[in-house]
Amino acid sequence: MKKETWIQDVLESSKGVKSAMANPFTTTRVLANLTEEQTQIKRWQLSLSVACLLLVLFSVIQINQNDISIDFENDTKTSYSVNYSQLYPY
Amino acid sequence: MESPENWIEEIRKGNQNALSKLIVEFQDRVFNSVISIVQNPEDAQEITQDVFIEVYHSADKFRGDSKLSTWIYRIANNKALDHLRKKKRKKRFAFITSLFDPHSGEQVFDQPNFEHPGVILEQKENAKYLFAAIDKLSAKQKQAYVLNKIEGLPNKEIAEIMDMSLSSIDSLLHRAKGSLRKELEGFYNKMKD
Repeated sequence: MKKETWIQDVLESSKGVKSAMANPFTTTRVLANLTEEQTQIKRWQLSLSVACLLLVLFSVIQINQNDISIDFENDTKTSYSVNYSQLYPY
Repeated sequence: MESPENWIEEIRKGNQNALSKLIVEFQDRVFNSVISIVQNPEDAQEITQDVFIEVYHSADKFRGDSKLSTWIYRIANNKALDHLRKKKRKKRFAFITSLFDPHSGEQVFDQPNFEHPGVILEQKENAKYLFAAIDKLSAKQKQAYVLNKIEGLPNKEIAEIMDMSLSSIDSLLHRAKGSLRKELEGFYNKMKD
């Protein structure tokens, strides 16, 4: 066959391409992927919420600890006095 | 709720039933255009799934300026080209590693005998050469040629899908035909030798 005829035949072969069929389970797979994706997002959201909650709890505990701790040994400026009459009213 | 444009409205609300209908309507067209570009059935199937996941997530971005099919074709073609880019990068990386380790330099992605599953029997042999030549085209030329010759879309719609002017598409197709001729001449000469 002549070169030009062959090239023309090959180029024309594009007309013999009919629509190829996609996998019949495409719908099922896409929906399964979306469900999986949403589960992952929910899992992440849950982990993030737990992490935030833990952070808040930790911060509250820290703040409380700071409030009640008084460094008596190194605190030279404050004078601490005890009103004994209130402690022992009798 | 029966026209595809209405399905998008429902998909925006998270209706997966509407998504199922849209997939059934468009899956073959998406798969057909993707497989012609990536030339691998498994990859094309994966990309087809990704296209509809993207449609679901980006339903809000569809404004109705173009046809729904044009918008879906655009997503499909972008995904197919992304896939080719990644494949090229992997090939380049494999080549670089092969320079350091001669045993790891196997050719990972080569499909010289790609058979498009939609080709009619009497055209199978010729179509093999056609797709091998298409595979050598630049990404843009390949995209335009596949949409025009395999999918049979008019140049105006291809311009919308590829976000280019009509004259650019004409020129891309003209250059693609020239490149294909050159490639096919090469194949012919090799066959004669």
